[in-house]
Parts: sequence; structure tokens; C-alpha cells
Amino acid sequence: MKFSSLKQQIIVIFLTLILGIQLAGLIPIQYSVDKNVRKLVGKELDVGEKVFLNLLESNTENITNGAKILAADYGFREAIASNDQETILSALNNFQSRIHADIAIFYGVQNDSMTVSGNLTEQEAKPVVNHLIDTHSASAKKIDFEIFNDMPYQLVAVPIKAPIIIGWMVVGFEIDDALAEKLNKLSSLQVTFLQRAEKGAWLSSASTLSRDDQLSLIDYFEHKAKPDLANNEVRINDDVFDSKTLTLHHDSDNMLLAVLQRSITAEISNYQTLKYTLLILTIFGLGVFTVAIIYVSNYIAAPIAKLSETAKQLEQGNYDLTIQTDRHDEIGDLSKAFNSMRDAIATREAKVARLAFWDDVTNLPNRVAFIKHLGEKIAAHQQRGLPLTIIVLNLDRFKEVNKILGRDLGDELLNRVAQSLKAMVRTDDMVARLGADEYGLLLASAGLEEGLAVAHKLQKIFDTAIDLAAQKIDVTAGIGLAVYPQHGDSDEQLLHNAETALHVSKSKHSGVVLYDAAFDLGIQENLSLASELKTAIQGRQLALYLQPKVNLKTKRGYAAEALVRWIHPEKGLIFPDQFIPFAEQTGLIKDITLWMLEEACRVHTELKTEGIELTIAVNISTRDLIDSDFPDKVEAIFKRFNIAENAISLEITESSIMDDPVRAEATLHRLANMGLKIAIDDFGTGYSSLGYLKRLPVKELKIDKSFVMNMEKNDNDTIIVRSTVDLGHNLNLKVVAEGIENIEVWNILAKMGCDYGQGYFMGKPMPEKDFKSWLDKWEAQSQDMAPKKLSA
Amino acid sequence: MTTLACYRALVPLTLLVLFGMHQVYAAELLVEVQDSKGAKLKDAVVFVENTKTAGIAPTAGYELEQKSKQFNPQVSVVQVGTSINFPNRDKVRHHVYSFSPAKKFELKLYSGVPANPVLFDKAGTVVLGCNIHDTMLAYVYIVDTPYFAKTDSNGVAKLANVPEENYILKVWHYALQQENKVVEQSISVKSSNKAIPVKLEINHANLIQGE
Repeated sequence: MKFSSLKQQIIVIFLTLILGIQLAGLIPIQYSVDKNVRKLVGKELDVGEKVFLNLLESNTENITNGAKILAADYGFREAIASNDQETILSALNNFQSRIHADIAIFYGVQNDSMTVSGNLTEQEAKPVVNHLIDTHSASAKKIDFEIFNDMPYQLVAVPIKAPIIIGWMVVGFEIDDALAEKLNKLSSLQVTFLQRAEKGAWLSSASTLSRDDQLSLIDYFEHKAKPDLANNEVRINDDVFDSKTLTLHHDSDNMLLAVLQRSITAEISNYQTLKYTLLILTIFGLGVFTVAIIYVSNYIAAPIAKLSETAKQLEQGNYDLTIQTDRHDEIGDLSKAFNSMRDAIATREAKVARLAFWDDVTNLPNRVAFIKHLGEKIAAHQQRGLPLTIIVLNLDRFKEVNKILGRDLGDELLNRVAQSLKAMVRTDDMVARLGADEYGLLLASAGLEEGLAVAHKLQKIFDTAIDLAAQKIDVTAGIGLAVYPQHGDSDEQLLHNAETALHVSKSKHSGVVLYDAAFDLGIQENLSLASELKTAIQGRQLALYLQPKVNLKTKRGYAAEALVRWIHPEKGLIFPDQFIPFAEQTGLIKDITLWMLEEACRVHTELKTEGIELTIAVNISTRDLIDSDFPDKVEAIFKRFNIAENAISLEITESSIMDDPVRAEATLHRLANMGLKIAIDDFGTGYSSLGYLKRLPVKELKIDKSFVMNMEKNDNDTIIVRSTVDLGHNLNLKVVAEGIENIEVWNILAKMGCDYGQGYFMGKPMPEKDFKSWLDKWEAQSQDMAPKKLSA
Repeated sequence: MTTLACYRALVPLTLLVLFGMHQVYAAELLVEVQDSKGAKLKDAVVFVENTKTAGIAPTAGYELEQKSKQFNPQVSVVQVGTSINFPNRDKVRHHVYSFSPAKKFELKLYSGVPANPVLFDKAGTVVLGCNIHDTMLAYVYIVDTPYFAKTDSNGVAKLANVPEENYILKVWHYALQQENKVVEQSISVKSSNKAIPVKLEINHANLIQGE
């Protein structure tokens, strides 16, 4: 058995101990009671035996005295002397009834005559009487027992003297239950007279035992070869008797025994009261001890249990418990130790909690803290029916800032933004840093309108450049907005939705975006597309589109940019911005790039058979640049199609180089050495330094369409484009302008000396099969528009 | 009274002596009685009988006193026809009786000397008792011959002036093993005779103590 609590253990151990001690006491008592009772009963039996014998003797004496009176009667003697039988008999009868004897016999010595009073014949009486008279003189006090007709008698013989013996009086008393009872009364013993004719069965002549017990006793004697006369324990039914057997009479014919018994069982039962008293005392003692031990164990175990309970509370993070330390014993010490431990844990936990919930860079709560606080706020607002708004803000191009300006200034920027954000909100609102360049604002009790107002105010922060280490940095940010309860009723959902809105804002550069359930559908669509993309690459669902590049001087189409399109079997045409970002993330972009290269080679070869020599530019991604095997793969494709290296050119964005500039540089050098022409795409949107660009084996710059598209209306753009063209030329690079949508732009660019142009004005991206007809159409058309002469 | 009784007893004795001296020669007969172990036996009754000894009248009376609650003497031998007086010399009264067939009588409670002596007219044994005092016991042996005697403490009975004739010598003792079985033998009395030894089977338990 196991006891879980200290209290139970103490109680069980001590109760077992005391019970054991009590039992250890009771057993010797039981033993000595048993022993003493037997000794006592044995003694009583010995005493009883003496009493029994005395009684028989005094009985004999009484009878003798009675008999003597008759024997001495003068008239009786005279009747004897005159041999007057009738008188003798009547005297005997009279005497017999007077002393209630069962037998009275007169025996005359002179003429050997016998007179018998009682249920007995002379023949039966004679041998007994002769025996009695013969043995009489030997011992005066002898107690005689005889058996007549199977009935035992106590006999007394008295001589009749006149004055010499002239006859004998023999008086007999039947041994019956009355005698046994009398003996029992005086000696307190059970008395049984057992008789047996030679080799016959034992019979009970008289007894104080019940009939049943007598039979049991007879049974005992029957199974004993020789009656044992010593003290002997005899089991009679349920009782154990200490027994003593006296042989009263034993001759050749008969045997008469007196069995004296005293019940040991009955005697022991007298001690039962003592035992009960002891038992009651034991039980009472146990009771008192139990109460005492429970009190003691409580005194010891209860504070420990309390400490244990306190420890559990500590485990759950409840440090406000008071621990009693007023005891001056070991438990008091333990309590004190507990107290100091609790304080130490509380301090450490506060530290850990701060680390877990705090961002040290911006000194703002972190994402976890934000979500926790949001959850609490939602729970509180749910009850009061108040709205709340969360705003998620993500800085654009923070990565570049960090890379170019260094981490310290990056942190400084984050900090400055954090300070600005904090300045914009109320004290019960929360500003947290959710990720690297992402902030979260919780506007407590702000509804949709108020939330939007705050979001727009936030956006204004980024209208002015931020002064950072003597540099003015232009920072923009995407802002997503979600409102409780309209856009979700849980912290996670609300934050997710705000981040979805943010994502939309970022991808579309559309400033403040309020969450719309439609976003989720779009995103879900994107996700499902992403999962299908892999099969799309293998299953030839992708298609290569060509957008022509035109020489601004000669107006001749000489090259094209290869663009990927996904012809989805169910959804139709899907534009790259819906799957390329995902392909970039998962690495599938590498497969797409290779597919594009192969496809470009194939198209180039096909067009060549039609007489068109077209250099096709393929976009390569960051992942291609950091893949050291990429140049080998490209070479293998070229070999397979057996085409010249100048048939294909590569386009890379500024940002793709910046992820790992060293490896990108190495890869580009290998590709350039293979004879591939490399162009920088979307030039002007990144932060690439010119010094770095100069080191790269780049032949061409492609000015981002955002600068070109509205050039004819925006002087700044014109200036940027012009300087870029000049810069490119100065670096000995060809310059391409993207996003030419009208003739005005074309003209400005041509005037600037920009080398090539690309845009809807010339041609949208088109399937390869349409390219020939476009070329024909363009060549015919361009003859009219060009102010200058076309040259081959 | 005592002197008178003694005197009266002397008369036949003198006559007997004279008769013997004149008619026949008489001799003294000595009989030594012992028990089977050879111990001298006191109070044995020794007497001789022949055809001439019966029917002779006794020459004197006899006195058997009661003193200190005892009969005295406890054993007596008398001739048939002897009257025995039972003078009570105690202060208490006695009730002397006999249930013996030879002489049944009783002297109801009395003191002093009873008025009439008791005549013992048959040979045989008479056991005397006192109804008041159980311990009082006396034997009176009545013989039909004038020649009788009791052994003294040396076991010797002396029968004087027994005519020298043939007799049957009989010896009785109250404690005989076989009660009243008189031991007999034929003898011839002569003056030259030595003492005749007689052995008796005695039940010692029946011997009167203090005798």
C-alpha cells in the first residue's frame, strides 16, 4: 500500500506502531490468563477433590452414626439375640425410612443369617456384605461403594455388639443425581459417576452434566484404553474441562469411577470481562492517539501541504501569495526559503517576460505582446460592445536601407519611425514592432472612420524624408487596416486581415488599404495557383511572350524581351505578378528561368528559319545568380540548340544583385565570359551604387518604366531619364527605356540619345507566332513616323 | 459380707481335701497355655471332665463387680449352679445384660448390690455387657465340673486336688480363632505329672486390652 501524503504516512506508521504495541500487550495477557486459568482450575480441582472426599466421608459418618444408633438399640439387639426375624425386618424397615437409606441389611454372626430391607435378594447381598465385614476391621473410615443390579451404592457397615459382635448392619445409599448435585454444590465441580461391568460399556450413574455432555464424556472414556487418573483436559462438546478421575470401586466384576470436572472454558469466560475492559481501553487509547497523531501530522504536514499549494500557484505564475513565516522551526525556515525563492523567480520571470514581450531596438512591445494585448482588448470590448482598429505598417525597401547604410542606421531608422508612430497615437493605444520592418498599432476604441483617419495621418509621416546620419532618407510604407468587429473577432484573425490589407497595399503601392474580404479570395487564388505551378512547368502550361525592343535611331525591331505567361487550363491567361513572387520564394523560379531559356532558344531558332535574327532577353532572378551551377546549365542549353551566345541576353534587376553581391558578381562574370550580354532591369528603383554597377560586366541599362511612362508631363522624370542616359553612355553602356506608350515619349527619348525603347507604343508582349506579322506591320508603319531615316 | 463369702468358700475346700485324703489320692494339675506363637496366654479357662465330674453342686457363690466402668474380673469361670452377684462399686448406675443362650438376663439400671444374685444353671459361655457403657465387657464361662482354673499372667492354670483318674482336659479362651471351639485332650492325672502344655489359636484382635 502506498500513501501519497506525508500526513497519511505519519498516521499510518504511528497507528500501526501503537496497535502493534497493544497487541503485543494483549497476547501475553491472553497467554497468562490461559495459563493461570488452567493452573487455577487445576488447583480448584485438587481442592474440590478433597472436598468431595470429605463429603463422602462425612456422609459415611452420618450414615454410620445413624446405623450405630440402631445397632446399639437394646430392643433390636434383644430381637437379634432371640433371632426374631420379623422384628429385625420391621426394625430395619423403620430405620431405612427414617434415614432415607435405599438399602438396610442385617447379618447375624451366630447363625449366619441375613435380613434384607430394600429391593435386593439375599443372594445378591451376601457376597457384598461378607466382603464389607471382612474388610471393615482393616480400616475404620473406609468408604465403600458397591454395585447391585447395575446400580451403584455407597455402603456403610456397622457391627452390632452385645457387647461382642453379634451381627452387622449394612446401610446403603444409591448414588444418584441428587448426590451429585450435593457434591457439586459444595465442591463447585461437575461430578459424574461412571460405572462399567467387566468389559461392558461405560454408563453414567449420576451426573451434574447435561445428558449430551455425559454422552460425550462416556465417549471419551470409551476411547481410552485405560482411564487416566491424573488431571486431564477433556473436551466435551464445546467446553474444555479439567478432569480428575477417582476410582471408587474396582473388583473383578465392576468398576465405579467418579469423574470430577471443572470447565476451563467457563473460567476463561470470566476473564472475558477483563479482556473486554482491556479492549475498550485499547480502543479508547487508540482513539485518543489517533486524534493526537492527526493533530501532530496536521501540525507538520499542513504547512508543507500549504507550501506545496503555494508552489503550484507559483507554477501558474501567481507570485502575489503570502507565505506564513512566523514559525521558528524547520518548516519556518523552509517557508522563508520559499519566500526568497518566489521573489527570485518573480524577478527572473519579469526579465524573461520583458525579453519575450519587448523589442529592445525600438523599445516597443513585440509581436507576441501585441497579440496578447489585442486578445485582451477584444475580450474587454466584446463585453462593452466597443470597436477597435489595428493598423499594420510595413516599410518599403527597408532591407536595402539596412544593407546600404548598415544595421546601426537601420535600427536608428526603425527607432525613429517607432517614435513618430508613438507620437501619433493616444496613450491607451499601443504601438508594437511586429517584425523586421513591420509595426502594429492598436487603436483602442477607434471605429472604422477614426481608424482610417489615423492611418492617413500615419501615412503623412512618410511624406517628408527622414534625417538619418546627415542623410535624408525617403521612406515609404504600406499600411493595412482592420477593424473589430467588422473584420474579425479574434486577435489572430484581425491581425491576419490587417496584414492581408498591408500585403495588398505593398503590392499595389496603394498607401492606406482597408481590409476587404475579397483580398482573401485573391490570396487564396494565388495560393492554389502556387500549388499548381509545378505541374504547370512540367505540363507545358507556360507560354513565352515576346515584347519587342526597338532601336530609337533606326526604328528597327532587333530584339525582344521574353515574358512568361501561364495559360491555365481553367482560368485562362495568368500574368506573372500573380505567380512569380511565389516562384521566387519557393525556388521554382529557377525551373521557370531554365524553361524560358530553352524556349527562347527554340523561338530564336524558329524565327531564324523565317529569316528573322532576333536577340531574346530572358529575365533571371536572385536565385539564379546565387546558383553557381547556373552558367553551366545555360551553356548546356546553348549547346543543345547549337546557337550563338549573342542570340540570348540576360536581364537582372538591381535588387536581385543586392541580395548576395559577391556571388552575383562572380556568376555574372562567368555568364559574360560565355559571351552573354547582360542588362540591368528596372534601373532607378534600387539602391545599387554606381561604383558597384561599374564593376559588373553589364552592357545595358533598362530605365524603369515608372520614370518613362509620364515623362512628357513630368520634368523631374525627364531629368532623371536624361541623366541616366548620360550616365549609361558615360559608363559605355547602352540605355533602354521601358514603358514608351506614345510618340511624344519616343521622340523625347530619341532626342536624348537613348539607344533603345520598349513599350506599348511599339508593341505589347505577344505570342511568338504573332511576332512576324507585328514585325512586318511595324516596319511598314515606322517608315511614316520616323523623322529620321531608317538604317539597317 | 466379703468375709462371710470367703468363709463359706473355705468349707467345701476343706471337705474336698479331707475327702481326697481319705478316699483317693489327689494330685495337682498344671496346664501351661500358649498361643500359636508360644506367647503365654492369660485368662484361658482350663477344666477336666469325666463321668464323675458332672452334676456336682457348687460349693460357693461368686461375685463379679463393676468398678471404674469395667467388669471385674473380665473373665470368670464358674461351676453350673453358681449364683453370681453383680455389685456396682461405681457411682454411676449400670444396666448389666446378657443375650447369651447359656444365660439371658438383665439387671436394669441399678446401683449398689442387687437384691438377688443371678443363678447360672447351664454350662456355656455368657457374654456380659452394660447397656449404658458399651465398652464394658465380661465373659463368664460355666463348666459342669468342680475341677477348673484360669491361667494367670504366666499362662499357667493350677487345678488342685484333682483325683488321680483319667479325664478329658478342655481349654477355652474368649479370643479363640474358632469361637467356642474348646480344645480337648485326654489326660491321666497323677501326682508325678508335669505341667501339660496346650496351644491355642487366638484372634489377637479380640483380646481385651489392658488385661
